[in-house]
Amino acid sequence: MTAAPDRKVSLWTALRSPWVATPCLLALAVLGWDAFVAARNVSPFILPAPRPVLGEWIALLRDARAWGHTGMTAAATIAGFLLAAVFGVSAGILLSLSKTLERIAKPFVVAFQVFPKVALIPLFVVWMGFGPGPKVLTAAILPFYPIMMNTLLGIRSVPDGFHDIMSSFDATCLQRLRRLEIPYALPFIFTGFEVGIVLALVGTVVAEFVSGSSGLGYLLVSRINSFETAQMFAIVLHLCLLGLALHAGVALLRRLVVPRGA
Amino acid sequence: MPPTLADPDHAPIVLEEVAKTFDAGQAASSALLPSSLTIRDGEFVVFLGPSGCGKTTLLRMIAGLLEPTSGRILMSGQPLWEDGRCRKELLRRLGLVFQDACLFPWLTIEQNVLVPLSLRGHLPRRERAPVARAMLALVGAADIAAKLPHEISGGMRQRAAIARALSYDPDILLMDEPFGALDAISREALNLELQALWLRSRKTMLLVTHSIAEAVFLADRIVLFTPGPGRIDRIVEVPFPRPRAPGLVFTQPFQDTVRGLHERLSALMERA
Repeated sequence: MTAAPDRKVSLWTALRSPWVATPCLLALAVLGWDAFVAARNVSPFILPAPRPVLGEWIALLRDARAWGHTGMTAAATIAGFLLAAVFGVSAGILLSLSKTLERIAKPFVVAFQVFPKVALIPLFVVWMGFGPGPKVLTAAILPFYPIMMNTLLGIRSVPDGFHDIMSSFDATCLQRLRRLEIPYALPFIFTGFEVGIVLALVGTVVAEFVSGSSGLGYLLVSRINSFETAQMFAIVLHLCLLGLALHAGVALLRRLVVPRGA
Repeated sequence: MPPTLADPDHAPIVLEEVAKTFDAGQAASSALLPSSLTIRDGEFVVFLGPSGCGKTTLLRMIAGLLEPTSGRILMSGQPLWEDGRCRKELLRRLGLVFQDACLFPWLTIEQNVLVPLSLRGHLPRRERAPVARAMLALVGAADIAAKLPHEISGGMRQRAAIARALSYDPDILLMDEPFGALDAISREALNLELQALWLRSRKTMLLVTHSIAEAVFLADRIVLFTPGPGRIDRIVEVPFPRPRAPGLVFTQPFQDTVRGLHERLSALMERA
């Protein structure tokens, strides 16, 4: 009798741990998907069951060409993201230098942000052809805004007292930026990077839908065109894992770069 | 004892009719009416008053952070503000400590103390670290050199902030409620440390506080401020000999001084 309540408590505690609860929820979702397909007798062209999707994904992992496409997508995403990081952080710093400059530039910045940038991809293809150019450009444009805004927000969040102290040390503008504002803004900048890397992947895949003959986005469209729905789902799963890996890369970089105390 | 008659050309700080008005839309409000004061070399001066009495405004003007609307601030005879600009070469003579220690959270305490030295670059790189450690030892914080600011107590952070302000050997230490956020026991300990530091270094010290007891314990002279609009009400000499022991606060003369200031402040507050 005495052991029973203990076990109950430990089960409840275990379920509240994310390491247990999250996989449980995932398993539940997959089981629900499987049950739905079986019960409603859904056509595999519309929604394949989880098992064939998993089978197709394993086949994908064994396919050297699929890895080639994965590499293309990853390379374009990372290249675009790096461009966005350099230009986004620079633009954020530039805007932080002056309130007037920020006010003058704000309408352009907002217009750029609300504009559906992927609508420009066909134009990019006209400009740059069917190579990696349009992909990298799209992957660079989508994350630019969040990276810039987070940089600006981070620099603007420096408490007044820190600025007073720097003034009392007679710091130059550049010293202030390098010794105070950028270190202070680093956690904000990395939050922008974490959002940005995922947006860069979105940009690459959408550009691959529209243009070119390589990359996971291209592969996905070609599979849906030939009604290989299970293969398409396998590519979606693959993209999901690629996104996770890229995000984890940025998170790792954050741990290496952002100091402990900040 | 500092000389009773100050020579204004050599006094570290002379205030001539210094005033500050803040422009808040149409209604310009006076933060500080014209105030004059001479701070002598090696003196410990305390600005005492309730919030809104202009004492912090005046300190910020002396620190070069805020431009006076009118009047002059002279440091050793030279005007601190000229044509709307603060003279940077005079700032080097000032060390600044705020209520918030303002230590950079991503740097260790020693690295924080090194910041002004490396920004000003007036010491060879190799000689900076020993100076930082010596300053930390001076304020009784030698063993926290390698810690990060969030790992130490508020009192220790304030000590580190004082060490940082002293690192480039300024003549004058300006402190704006440096112990205002500390508990009473840490505050008492730091008041003693500050007195010891002052006796050893004989730097000119200017401290802003709203604690009457702290003012009486530390000051050679108390400048009493009154609010609405802010101005200097009177200057009170504090005659107790140095070094002042912690037990001084329980003596009759000490408590009489505190009571006198308290009654004056209450009367001023009622009138405002």
